Amino acid sequence: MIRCLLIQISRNLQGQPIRKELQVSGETIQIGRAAGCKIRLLDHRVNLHHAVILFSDEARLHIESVENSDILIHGSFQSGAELIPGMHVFVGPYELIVESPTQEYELVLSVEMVRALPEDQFPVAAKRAAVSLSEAGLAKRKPTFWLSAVIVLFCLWIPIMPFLALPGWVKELQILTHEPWQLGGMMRGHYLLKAKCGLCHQKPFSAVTDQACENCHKTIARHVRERPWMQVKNAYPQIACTECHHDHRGEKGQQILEVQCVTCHAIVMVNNESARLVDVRDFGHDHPAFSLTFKTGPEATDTLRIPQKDQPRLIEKSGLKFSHKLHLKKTGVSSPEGDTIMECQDCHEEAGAGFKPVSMEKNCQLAGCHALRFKPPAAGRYLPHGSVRNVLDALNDYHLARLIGGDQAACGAGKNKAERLLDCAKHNAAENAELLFKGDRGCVECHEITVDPEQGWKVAPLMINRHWLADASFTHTKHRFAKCASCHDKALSEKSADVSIPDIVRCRECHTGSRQEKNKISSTCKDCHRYHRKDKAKLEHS
Amino acid sequence: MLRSTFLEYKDYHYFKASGLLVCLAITAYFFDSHPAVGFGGTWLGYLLGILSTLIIISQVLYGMRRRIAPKVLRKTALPAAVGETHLHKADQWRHQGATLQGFLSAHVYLGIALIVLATLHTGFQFGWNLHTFAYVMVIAVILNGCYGIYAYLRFPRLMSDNMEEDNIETLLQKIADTDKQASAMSLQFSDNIYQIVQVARQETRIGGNFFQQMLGYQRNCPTTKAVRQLKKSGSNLKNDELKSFNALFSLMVHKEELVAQAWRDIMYRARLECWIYLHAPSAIASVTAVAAHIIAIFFYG
Repeated sequence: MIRCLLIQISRNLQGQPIRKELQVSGETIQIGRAAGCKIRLLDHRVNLHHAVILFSDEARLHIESVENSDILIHGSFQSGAELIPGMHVFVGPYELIVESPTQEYELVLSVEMVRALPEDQFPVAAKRAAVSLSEAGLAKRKPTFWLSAVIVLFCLWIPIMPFLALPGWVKELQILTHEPWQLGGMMRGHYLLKAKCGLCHQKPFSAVTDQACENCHKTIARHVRERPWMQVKNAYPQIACTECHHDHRGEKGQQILEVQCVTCHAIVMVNNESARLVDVRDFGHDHPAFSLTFKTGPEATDTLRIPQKDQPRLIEKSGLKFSHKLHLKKTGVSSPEGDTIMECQDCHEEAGAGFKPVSMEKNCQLAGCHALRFKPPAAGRYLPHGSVRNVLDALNDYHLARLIGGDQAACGAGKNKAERLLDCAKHNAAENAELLFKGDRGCVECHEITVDPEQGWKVAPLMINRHWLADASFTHTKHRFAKCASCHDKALSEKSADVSIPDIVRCRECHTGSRQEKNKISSTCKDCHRYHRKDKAKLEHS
Repeated sequence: MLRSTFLEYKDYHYFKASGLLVCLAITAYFFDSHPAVGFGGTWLGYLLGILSTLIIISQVLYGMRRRIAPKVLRKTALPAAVGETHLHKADQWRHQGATLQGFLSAHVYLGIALIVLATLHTGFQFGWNLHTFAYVMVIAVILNGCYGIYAYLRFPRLMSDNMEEDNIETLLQKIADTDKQASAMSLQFSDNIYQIVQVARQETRIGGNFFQQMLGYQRNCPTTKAVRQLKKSGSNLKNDELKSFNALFSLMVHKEELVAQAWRDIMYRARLECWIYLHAPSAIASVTAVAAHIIAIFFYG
């Protein structure tokens, strides 16, 4: 049994020793970190079981290392040694000094930590990294500044630079573009101007002027220069090109939509009850009945518009007599080639959006019908279709030639044969003319002919309407699939005065307004109406 | 009585006002012209644009108000006597709080209404240009703000539940203290156990960069790993060591809980605050973009 007095020495702040005594005993005294050791040296440089103190065979106290642990005795590492008073033994960072034994204790040992590690070399506690986002380097001010600066540079400064008074070489820099400011693509025609914004945008912060448009679009007529009905309230009487035409909006944005027309045309009457135009909002359910344009004279502007609902006044005074009923008889029309069943296309030959004018030579005389014969007729000779003068000349020539080469008895006898023949031919020609102009066959069949005591025969001038709906751009080409009779009810018409232009109700059987409807074609303003019309006739309500 | 949140301020006063504004805008839009004409250039387009701009200005004013308010408060509280100062301050805060809550309520609901107004203002015409960019910026700021609403409603409660009386600094001290105890305790065991405890002590990290804070834990957390390893090591110990080992093990488990608690606090705080680091700069940037958009529009007339 070893009885040991363990003196643990620690140092206060002044370095003075503080002694603490502890009794330990046992057959052997283990030194180490382990819980079972009698002398516990709590430092990681000391092994779990570092050394052991025991009695030797000679009953002397020995210290021996365990499992080759290092024990420093007298300056050298040894595996064991006898414990002699005054001896210094180093176990890890601890110094064990063997002191003189007493009666109670065979062994007196003082233990002191002599090689403590500096504080910062001890294993550190959990690392404290950034525990908040601001500690992690996130900030608000700098990103705010830089982000805003980048936006100002690219979204404001660079696009505005081409408009500033800068040297030419600076303006030519590719980076100076105001592309970011554009809402969409430009109109195709304006691509040529792409580099010359100033042609349209003449003044910053000012709208594009009509003058700027008209500098290039010189030949385009205005829709209307102003809104006369608006002048009543003196509100925005001027119409600018940019009200309808918007560039830099891509193809979709450039389209002129019905709503733009309706914006003005829906409130015409609201602003001026006596306005010539009628309010319109949609072709399908809010569009006035058509007005038909009648020719009243030889000039293009000699026209008269009559609302289609005013049926009694819808009489075409064309100067012609023509019966569609006769020509469209289901059993056929008698002709030199026998009874011929005629169709609309025989006379109305399609040409572009409309038809070629009907001509006497091509349409009426082609099959031998309506041949203008002399009286008496002569094989192979026909009267010309033309002016009265030409007809009369042809008659004179024909009858004179006939007398010269034929029976002159009817001309009587006299001293001057030539004079007699001329008078006779003139007389025969006048009789023939009377038959043609006044009888029941010949010119009078189709034309309205009057006789003037001074000027003679007079054929009424033709005033055939070519554009019934002068304000609309109707095309027959798109309606080719339909039969003529489905719109034009001419089969029973006996007079050319009859008008058979389909009314809006008929159109609405197939067409509707801007909103889609089942089995109907959606039609907007621009499908029928043109805006910039140079040929716009003087239209007046009568 | 539970204190009402900014969303419920004055019986949803601003919610109703903003809802009415949105309904009016949508009705006007569908009763107005064909949307394709749009491009914000119709009378309704301009009206929506002006309204949106006014709302954006009010949003920025809220931000300014929020920053300026505490400074003003400090100045006004200074000259008063000490007792009065506290009373005055309390009144001021109450007054200030109420006003700020009202401002925040308006800020939130008008911001959400701005999504609809700004979208209708565009007429659904988008492209690769400044105008769409300004719109996207505004919408991004609002959506970011919506996350802010969520964050403010969710995380403060979780944070207080998580930390109770602690804060991150006291928690770090507790962890350090636990580390010291564990280290000292581990000395009596084999080098292996000692090493496990030391590695956990040295390599456990609390906090980190933005992503680590948002994630809320240390990947392969050394403390968790140490607890797992200690569990295995404990089975090889002798009976006389087990008592001490159990103490060490429970200390390490405690440390693991403390570490997780600290990380949770960091995560909640990061998730609570992260949006504002985007919201404030992008809000000012979006105001700049909107200003550029307005200048660009009127530059061309």
